[in-house]
Amino acid sequence: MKVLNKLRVQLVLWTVTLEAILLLVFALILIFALQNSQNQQINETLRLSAAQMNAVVDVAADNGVSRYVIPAEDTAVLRGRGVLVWILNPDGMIAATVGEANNTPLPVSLPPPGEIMDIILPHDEPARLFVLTLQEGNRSLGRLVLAVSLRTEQVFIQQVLLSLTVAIPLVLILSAAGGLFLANRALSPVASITATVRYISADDLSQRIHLNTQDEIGQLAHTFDAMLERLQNAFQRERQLTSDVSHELRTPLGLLKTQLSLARSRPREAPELLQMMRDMEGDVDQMTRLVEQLLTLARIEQRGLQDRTHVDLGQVVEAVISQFHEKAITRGIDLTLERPKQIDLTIRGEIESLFQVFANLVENAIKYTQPDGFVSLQIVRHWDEISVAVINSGEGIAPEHLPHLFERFYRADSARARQTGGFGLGLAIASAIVQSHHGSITAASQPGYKTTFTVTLPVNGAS
Amino acid sequence: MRVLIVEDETRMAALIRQGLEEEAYAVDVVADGSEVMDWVRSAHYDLIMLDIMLPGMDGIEVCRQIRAHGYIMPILMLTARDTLTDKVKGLDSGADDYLVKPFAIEELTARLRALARREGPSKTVELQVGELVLDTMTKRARRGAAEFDLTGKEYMLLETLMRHPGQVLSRDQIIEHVWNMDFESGSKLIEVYIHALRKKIDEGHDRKLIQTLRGLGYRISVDESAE
Repeated sequence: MKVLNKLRVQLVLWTVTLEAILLLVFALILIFALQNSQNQQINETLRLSAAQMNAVVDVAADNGVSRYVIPAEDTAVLRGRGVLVWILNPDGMIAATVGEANNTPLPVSLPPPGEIMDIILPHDEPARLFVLTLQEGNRSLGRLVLAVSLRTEQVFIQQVLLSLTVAIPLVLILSAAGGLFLANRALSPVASITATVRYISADDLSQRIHLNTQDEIGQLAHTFDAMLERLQNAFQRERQLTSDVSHELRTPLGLLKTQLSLARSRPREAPELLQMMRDMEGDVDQMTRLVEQLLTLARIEQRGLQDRTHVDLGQVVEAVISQFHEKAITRGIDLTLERPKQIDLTIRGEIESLFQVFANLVENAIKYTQPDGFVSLQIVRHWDEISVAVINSGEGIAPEHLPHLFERFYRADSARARQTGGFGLGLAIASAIVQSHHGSITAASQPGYKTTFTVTLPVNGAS
Repeated sequence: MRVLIVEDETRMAALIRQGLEEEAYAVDVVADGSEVMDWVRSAHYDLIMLDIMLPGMDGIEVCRQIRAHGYIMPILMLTARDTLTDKVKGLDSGADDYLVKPFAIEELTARLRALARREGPSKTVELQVGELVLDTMTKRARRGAAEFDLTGKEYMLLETLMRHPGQVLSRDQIIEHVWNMDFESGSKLIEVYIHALRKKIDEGHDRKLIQTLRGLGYRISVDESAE
């Protein structure tokens, strides 16, 4: 995996890029705000100082020449503020100075009175000028030129800029390192999930991630574990099926092989050979039945329903009953049907499959009912469901078998079932068909009295 | 030779029984693993055929039990499984050989002959006492140049005697090895078969091989001193 493809690196890159943009915007705003604040402060200083000067300068006329007197304490204050003041007489000549103005030539260009202008003083000293007309009543007594050096402010801004150019990359680097650390920590369970899943194969699905955290990754791991559980069960069922099918086929195959070798092991009379062939044909039929039932099961489970149509369940059940009518009479069993009249028993489904469900159930019921017993079918419609109960008298089914009855190849009574030619697939087939109709099938038994299989089908389930 | 077949598949058991009876074995069948010990205790079986998959108790456990009770007759495991662990488990539990289903009846009888040989004095298919030779495969006997066919019961009786040369076998012992549990005719029937055997084997020979010891039983021996 390329470094850039790693989720953690992408996360960190995105975070750092976003942070860099935010920090740059922050720096720009900071510089702008600082400069703005400095400007206002300097302008304030200039205006305040000008007003102060205007108030305190005393002009005395001496031999037609004006003399400007400034109180010493005000001079000190202005000097302290770093303000340079040139006082120009009405002729524009320098009449007096305050502070460093003494050593500094008057700037050549001056702004009009009341306005501000930035200039460069000698020695590349940036400065700001402010000019004010000295007035007494309506008479102009000359002009005040004030200047403040901007150097301190510019140096400050430069220092701030320098700090930011060092600090921002540093913050970004630290943030990237911290981000990578956190991403590693948050994503380390992902690595363990990957490692576990990599070791899981169809042969060994018993591995689990077992991550006991409640966060999103914990949920992901939990979901994975649940999926593995289902997969393992499915594989287990598949293996069990293969083993069951092999066993069921091996028994008649073994019989065939032994019978064939027995038949040719010595000279035999025609009638004896004929009997042996009949027995072997029975074994072939047995295998054929098994394969057919397995194919039926596979068809239902894989392809679902093919010929969905409107089916009158009452009619289907009646057809099943008429098919088994004779068999029931021969065995001395009372086969009856109770169904509601004038109630619609139509559902959406596949006629042939539904017929097979009830044929399997009735055939089973007759098989396990003693002579003089009964097999009773009861159809009931509740709201949007129709249920058909197949009840038979007899010894019933032990409770421990009930939960497994619908499993493939499950036989509650293996010895007897084998003698009666069952594989333990009839109920599995019935259950698969009912499920494909979105219905349910249940079994209940009162041992020694009766057994009830109930099929419940939704009226429009297969739609 | 008397064989106990332990097999729960009734049709399979019936086929094996037919195959073995046609090869002149006395056969009993039991389907439930937990009943095997009762049968083993009640008769002297020369061989036991044991299916691994059994109701009641599985074949491996049954085999262990038979050996734990000190019985040493050969045991042949019969199984539908052909995994290595089943073979190993079967042999380790005390079986002498195993046969994987499906099998041909000829293979089964060949294995039984091999197992019987392992126990007996001869390592070939032939048993011999003096000039009398019994071929256990063709079920034919010959004495000198004369060769004769035997009926099933005659063969079983002769085989039983020849497996214990010089040894007196009581009527009950002979019945144990020749007839299965269905036999109820009483020991008089043995005399009939002994008579028939004598006619084939000893008639025209000075040295009588089949000898009756009154009140004790029968033996086959080249030494006639006890007569």
